[in-house]
Amino acid sequence: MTKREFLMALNDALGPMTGDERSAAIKYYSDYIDDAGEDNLDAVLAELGSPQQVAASILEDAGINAAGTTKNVPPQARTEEKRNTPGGLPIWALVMIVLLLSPAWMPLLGVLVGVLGCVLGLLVALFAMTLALVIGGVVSIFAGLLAMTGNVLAGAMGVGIGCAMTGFGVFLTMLCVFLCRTVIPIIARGIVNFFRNLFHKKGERNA
Amino acid sequence: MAFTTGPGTMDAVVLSVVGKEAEGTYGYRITQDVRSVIEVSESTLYPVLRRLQKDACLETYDREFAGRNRRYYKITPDGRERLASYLTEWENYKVKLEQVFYGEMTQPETSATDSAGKESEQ
Repeated sequence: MTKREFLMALNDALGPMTGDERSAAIKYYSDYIDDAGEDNLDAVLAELGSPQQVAASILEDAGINAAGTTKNVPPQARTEEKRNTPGGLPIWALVMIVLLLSPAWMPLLGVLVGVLGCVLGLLVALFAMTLALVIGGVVSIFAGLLAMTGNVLAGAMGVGIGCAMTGFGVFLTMLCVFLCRTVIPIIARGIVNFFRNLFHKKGERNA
Repeated sequence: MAFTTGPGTMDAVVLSVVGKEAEGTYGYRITQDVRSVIEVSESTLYPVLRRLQKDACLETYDREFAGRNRRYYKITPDGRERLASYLTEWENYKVKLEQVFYGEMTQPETSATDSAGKESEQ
């Protein structure tokens, strides 16, 4: 078996894991085989076992948390729980609490939804106005130029207004782009991290 | 072998091996160092390293070596704390075992030969 075949088979056997976890494991063994040296490839592969065996040991350890094989040195230092819920309460207790508190959080949720709807409406209005200004401005410029053949002053006014609209529209376009590219991802990430911190211990980093 | 290596002991050994290098060390080296003291298969190490990393006892970084990026493991302050507590446990355990193996018997022996091991002065 070549190194590449081994790593690809290992990747397949690690199917149940997340993409990040899998690529970390593949990287580890890729480095390992490289560091062992080209001449030792067969010996290393023989010692490691089949890709399926290697994957099985990784998956098994990922599933078990605090179970030890011997009681010689009990791992007291390990404190993580199998399922991370806020406050460590059983799930049914959490559901009960949420239901009982509903008269409190439901109106708040309503307000939140209302505010979000308002913000969304404003955003839609902003985009619509931007589009309208840019398109309308360009049309006005052309219409004004055409009108200048008949009535110079009126046509010139049309051109002038068109330029102002387009200019303002371009400025708003830049604002929209800024919003889409920076502000919205930051808000989205903030929300995701908030929920992630609720449900996970501090220890999960660099996964 | 009477004394097998459980997951806790493995954690302690790996933390100790990695902790000896200020700048950290890489997977193959760690495996060689651990295997020089404990008989484990080469595929045993990665799950341990992965778990210690998830527990924030180890951190990783990549450094270029021979034209590729090699991943290094380094012990964190949390890792040093955990290692210290493992070492304390080990000391207590070792003392207790040695008391049983080599210490004085509390009951007087009836036979002339002492079959429970040598006596040692503490």
